[in-house]
Amino acid sequence: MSDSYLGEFEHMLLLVVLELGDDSYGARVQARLEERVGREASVGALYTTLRRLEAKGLLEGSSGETTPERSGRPRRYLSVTAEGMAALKRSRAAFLKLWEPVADTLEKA
Amino acid sequence: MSAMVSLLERLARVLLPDDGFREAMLGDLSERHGSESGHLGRFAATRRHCARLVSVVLALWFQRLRPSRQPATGLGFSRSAASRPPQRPRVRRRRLLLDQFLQDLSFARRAFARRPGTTLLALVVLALGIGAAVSMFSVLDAVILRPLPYPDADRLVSIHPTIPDWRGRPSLDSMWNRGKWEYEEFGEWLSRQSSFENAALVEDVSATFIGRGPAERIQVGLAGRGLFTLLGATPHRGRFFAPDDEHREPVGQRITLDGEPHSVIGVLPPRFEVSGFAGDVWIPVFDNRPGGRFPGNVGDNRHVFRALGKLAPGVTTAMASEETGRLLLAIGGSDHFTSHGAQVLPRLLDETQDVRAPMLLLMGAVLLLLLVACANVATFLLGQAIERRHEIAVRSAMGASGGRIVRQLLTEGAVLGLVGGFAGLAAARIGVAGLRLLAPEGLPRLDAASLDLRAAAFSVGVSLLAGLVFGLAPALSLGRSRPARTLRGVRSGSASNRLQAGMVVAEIAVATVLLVGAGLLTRSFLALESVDTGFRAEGVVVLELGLDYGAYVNNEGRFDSEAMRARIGEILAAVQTLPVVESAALSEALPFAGFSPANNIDPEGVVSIEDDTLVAHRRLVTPGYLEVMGIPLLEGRALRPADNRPDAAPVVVVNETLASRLWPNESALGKRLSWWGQDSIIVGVVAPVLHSGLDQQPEMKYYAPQARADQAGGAILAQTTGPPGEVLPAIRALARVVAPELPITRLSPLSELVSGSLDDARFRTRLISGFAMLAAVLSAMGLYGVTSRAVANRAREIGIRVALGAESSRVVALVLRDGLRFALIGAAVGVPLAVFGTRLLQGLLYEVEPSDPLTLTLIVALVAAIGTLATLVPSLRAARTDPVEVLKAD
Repeated sequence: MSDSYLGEFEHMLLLVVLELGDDSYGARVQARLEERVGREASVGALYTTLRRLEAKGLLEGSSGETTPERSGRPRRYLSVTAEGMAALKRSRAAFLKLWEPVADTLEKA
Repeated sequence: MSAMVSLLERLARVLLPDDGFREAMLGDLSERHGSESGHLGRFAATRRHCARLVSVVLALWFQRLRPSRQPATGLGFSRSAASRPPQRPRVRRRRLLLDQFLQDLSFARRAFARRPGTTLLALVVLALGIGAAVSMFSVLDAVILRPLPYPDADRLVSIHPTIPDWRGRPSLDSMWNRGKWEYEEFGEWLSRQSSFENAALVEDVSATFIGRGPAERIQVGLAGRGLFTLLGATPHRGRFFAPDDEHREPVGQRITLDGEPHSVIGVLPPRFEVSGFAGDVWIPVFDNRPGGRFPGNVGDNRHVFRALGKLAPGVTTAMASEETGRLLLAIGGSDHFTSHGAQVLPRLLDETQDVRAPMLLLMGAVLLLLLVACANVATFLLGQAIERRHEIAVRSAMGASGGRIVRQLLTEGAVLGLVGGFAGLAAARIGVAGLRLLAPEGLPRLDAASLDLRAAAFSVGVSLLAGLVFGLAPALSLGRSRPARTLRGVRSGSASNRLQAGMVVAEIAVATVLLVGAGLLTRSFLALESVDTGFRAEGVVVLELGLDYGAYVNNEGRFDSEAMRARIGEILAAVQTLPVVESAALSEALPFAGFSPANNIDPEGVVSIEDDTLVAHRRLVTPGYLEVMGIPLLEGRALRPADNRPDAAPVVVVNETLASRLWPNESALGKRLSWWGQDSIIVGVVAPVLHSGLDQQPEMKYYAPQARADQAGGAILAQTTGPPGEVLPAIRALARVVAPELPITRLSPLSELVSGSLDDARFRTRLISGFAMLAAVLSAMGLYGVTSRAVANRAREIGIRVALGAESSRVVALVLRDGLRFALIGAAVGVPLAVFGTRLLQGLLYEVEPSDPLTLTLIVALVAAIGTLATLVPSLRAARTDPVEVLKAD
């Protein structure tokens, strides 16, 4: 996995989890993502991707507290693992390198 | 809606592995649902919640199916293709199939979105069909399929002594293999037998209950030793009976049953019941001496009991029957009740024996309806497929294989089926509620009927099957079409047209079968309704009081029938004083209430009659009974008040059935008839009346003055004037004043009892008629669709005809003839099927033969009329064809 890049949606989700820090769990991630990007994310895509990120070891989940609104089901708090951080850095570096030569062109278009 | 949510959540549990992730996700979704309910409203929020649940469950489920799949990355590459480990061909193939399946799914979505109207109609049809099938299945499942709620329910059996002598005898035949046990006989048998792990006696009686409030008539269960252990019940509170409970000093809460004090020692779990009998109070029966101290054990009448048992492992019901029969023969019962064999039946079968056949019949009918619905959707898909020939031809020309196209069409069918199934499940919620409302009393465990996982699984199975069935039709007709010809514009739809026509004919044929069944049941029902009972029920009101046998005891502590009779006499006299009451009388049994006492008789000069039975039904009545009931006197005189004195000369009145059977060639008047040791003179003969059911024959019966027997009790029947709305409250008010200590157990017009005996037949008839009508409507829709498409296809031909001067009536006739032909072929196929199939109805029909020619003729005429109606609109449309428009289009 160490040499792969992140998918766009994976990338976005990791960033949101990172931003939310300690208060990061599924419903919150979705809300924040919608706030930032401005459109509703498909819940199907959201949870399959979160699950995949966990399976790849880029995210780590831990069981948290529950509330009555959740019908007794615990929250699952998410945090970005060291491997996740590395993947984010790698993707970011690649993007920056790719953006640099075309930044002006895009500006003018 | 909330049921939908819980159903989806359960589905999620089934499909997704149990890890923290699943629960957290479901929690997230409910959290969001809660917060959205605030601003969107409950309904909209729940709808969204359901949509999210579906999409999440599907997405995660598909992800599980392809665990090895690499995510498509936004940047378009992850590793170079060369560095990827080579995949095994099988894995690759599986992945390809899955991708194609997903592709097919999205094709299907688009195909349906292009024709929203017709798709919606197909879904409604499916929802109706599947909804009806699922509702019926839920009821069937609860009543006859689901194992009983006891541990090792599959080994739980009923043990009936059999009395082969009773076989074939009127009024005894139905009981010959359902005998009951005497207490000592059972104990003896239990100690000797080896087929059962455990067995216990059980019986239900009613008793007058006095606790803190007013007297109440309640259901009392008699529990033999070990009953609760056998049924795996544990006390909800307190404890169960111990062997010496009958002799122990009472402790705890005291209650009174039929005048006997009892103490409460434990509380059963709320849902405990034995074959539908819940029992308000259970008391132990560990001792059965005559006059033993439990309700219903009156005088020297000895109780008999039912027995339940748990088979020892490896023992079959046949082995157990054989051993029990052998032991019973060896033990030998008391003289009047000798068993010569035994019948051991699985408990579930025993409990549901009477309802099994009608329930299965209804299920069969509903499956036929579903078949019609499927054929209907299949014709719809076929019609659509013909319109899609071009699209399919293009795909096929571009290299899609036949198999691939067939698979796509099947997928479309399956998707339509599943969505229809979901809608059907929603419809079934209403259906189950409706069935529970309509169903006659006495369907065991009906209130357990609900849409549970089993019903959901049934509906998914049915929907998928249905989807495949109607996906197959277009797949077969199109998968083989030749693209080059289609693209060149050659019309080659004749095969699919034939298939469509076949589907419509099949629909009409099945609908005909259902209509014939409904017609027969309706005729039989009408015949039953018009049966003359022999008595006049109009204006007669029934008042039954829960008599407290324990309250009437003599100095020796024995039941005193004289005292009870005196009390009832007071109440009867009071009822007779009411202005709305013309006359009133007492009878020990009510007609159409399920109970008819009978006993052996000894008629003068008659040694035996052909069937060797000298059992007659007994009615202990007060004089005036025959007048209240309007039973015509044929000969002699009726009972007089003077006959009802204990010291009067014993007399009886017999019905004509008895008179003509015992003394066929002479008058019965003046003959002696001995019953219960009373040598009575027959003073009158009355017309026979029905007692046990409208489809029964009158039994041999005699009416004796009530005071002649050491027996009291029964119901008051009053001939009243005025509307029941006034009469019933007046009688109720009176009963509360003159007999405040006796609970009213029944107060209703007699006609309600008679009409109540038709509840089962009414339920069946209504339900099957409903299914038949739905099937007729669906097949009419199918016929309409096919004819419309045929008219559209023949627009050119019709246009030319009109242009050449054909009159509109000729054009209408042309199209109508086609429609009528379908209808008649359908009926022609359906009638023989119906004649064959309705033989299953035989046992349920009254005075109508399964192949009743009148019904068959009427149904064929009805089908023809429906066919004409369904083709009328397309034919009128055809007649209005504008030749210019049609020919211009060429």
